Amino acid sequence: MNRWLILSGIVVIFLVATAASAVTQIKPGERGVVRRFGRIVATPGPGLYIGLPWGFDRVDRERVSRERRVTVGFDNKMIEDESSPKIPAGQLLTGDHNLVNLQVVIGYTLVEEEVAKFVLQSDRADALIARAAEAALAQWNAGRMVDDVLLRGKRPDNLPAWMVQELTRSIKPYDLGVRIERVDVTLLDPPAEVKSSFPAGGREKPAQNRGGDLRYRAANGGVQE
Amino acid sequence: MRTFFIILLIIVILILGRMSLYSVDATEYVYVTQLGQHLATHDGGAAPDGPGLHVGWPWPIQSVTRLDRRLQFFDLPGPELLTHDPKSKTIGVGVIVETYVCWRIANADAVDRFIKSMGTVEQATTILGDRINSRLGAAIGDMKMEDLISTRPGKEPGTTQVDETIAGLQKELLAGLRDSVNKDYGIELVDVRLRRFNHPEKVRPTIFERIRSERDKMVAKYNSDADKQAKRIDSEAEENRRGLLAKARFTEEKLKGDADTEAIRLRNQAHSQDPEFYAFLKKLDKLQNILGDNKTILLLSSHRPIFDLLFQPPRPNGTMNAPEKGKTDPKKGGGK
Repeated sequence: MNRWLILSGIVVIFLVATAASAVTQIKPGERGVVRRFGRIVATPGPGLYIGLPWGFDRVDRERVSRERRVTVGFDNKMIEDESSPKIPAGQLLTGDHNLVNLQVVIGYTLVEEEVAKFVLQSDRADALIARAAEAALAQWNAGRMVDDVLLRGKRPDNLPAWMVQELTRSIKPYDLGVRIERVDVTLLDPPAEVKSSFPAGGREKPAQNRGGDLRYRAANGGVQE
Repeated sequence: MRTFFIILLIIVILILGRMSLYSVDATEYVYVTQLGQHLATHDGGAAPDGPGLHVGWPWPIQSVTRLDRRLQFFDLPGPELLTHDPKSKTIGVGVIVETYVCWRIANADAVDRFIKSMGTVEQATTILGDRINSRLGAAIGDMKMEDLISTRPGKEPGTTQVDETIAGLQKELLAGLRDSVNKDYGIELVDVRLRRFNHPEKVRPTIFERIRSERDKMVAKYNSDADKQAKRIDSEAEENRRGLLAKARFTEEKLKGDADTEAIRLRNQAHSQDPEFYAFLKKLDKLQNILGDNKTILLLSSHRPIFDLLFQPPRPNGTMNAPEKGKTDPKKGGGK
């Protein structure tokens, strides 16, 4: 009697768990991608999705409205880490053969209609975007003077705008189902080895005095005659 | 015993049934062989027939090989490539170029070629890497360093020469390999990009030294220019100050002259209207001068006409008042 009761209990639990695995809750801002034996059969929006239980359906949920961020370029931790490459990533050559340390953060979102493309490649999307961004950064720096890079690189209409355009173009063949929303320049400095040779790291204005101010302006793009 | 065989038979049927079923995911190609011969290729991206559940003969009659149909990528480690020096027609500057490569199996028809020539993604990565490195070295060897690192503008507005060089290099690499790797290996070469390029590590100390030297020179030049400009601005300011001062003085003199002229005119006008009242006012002025300056004691003779004002104030008809009785006549007695 007891044995049959335990067996029945196990069977009931198994059936309930199987039935429960057929139900998926898609939260607000999410989109599901349902694969049945590997074939994409539905991309349900927010709400309750009832499909087939485990072994039949696989449901991946992605937050389509959330902005995802990828950090690319120079990282100060790399200097401390002895296992890092001797030429740090994000230390880029400028057109006049100077070097700058540059780090950007790329913000991207999913294209809701193409969420299935993203789900299939989500494990490589960040890496591909990061590589395309590195290539774009290297190209941008190699065509500009170091003063131009240091002084104007952070302006929203300069490097960030160019990067959004260039990244959108370069990742198009990868078909990742994403949209590049923004690029923020989070670090832009001369390398530590030569930083002292640049006025205030090439960024900040020195102490106010007329001669110093003139010298600063001269050293950072010239004084208008 | 019979029950045992029935259960065993059911288990065997279930196992064989499971082995006869295979699914094709949307991310993969499934290459099916029957007794070693290629039978079919299922493309997970070619809905509705490709992905999903399929039935076949169980192993060892049929076997399936799964291949990722998604975009693959790998990094090519940066060898030191030599550029070309057009002046001396010799080897120019060395440059470390790191690239990344994106590829995928071209299509379902190409899977057979890929399986036969490459077999695995790892093998494809190795062979593609070698071929791209070779092409890249050749292309960089034909280039000057100034083609890759330059501040010159490009032909199109808003572009640089570097943009054009890199686009040309990418185009050249893709054009040179795309058809070949598709035909030979069933691979679609999607993208080759220069991820990083830099000077070799051994010359980095020299590069830093040069940067410091150049910046110092620039600072010295800028300081010199700034000093010159500061002096020029000082000189201009002094010149402006002098000009403004001269102009202010001229204006001051002119205003004073005008005021004096006006005062004389008013005095003359007053004199002509009432000479005695005018004389009275003048005397008041003199008295103000004498009694002013915070004097506390003043010893003067009262016989002076100036004190007529005190003893004989003017009348409205212009004549002086006679001294009152009992009061001292200033012409007869002294006073203080």
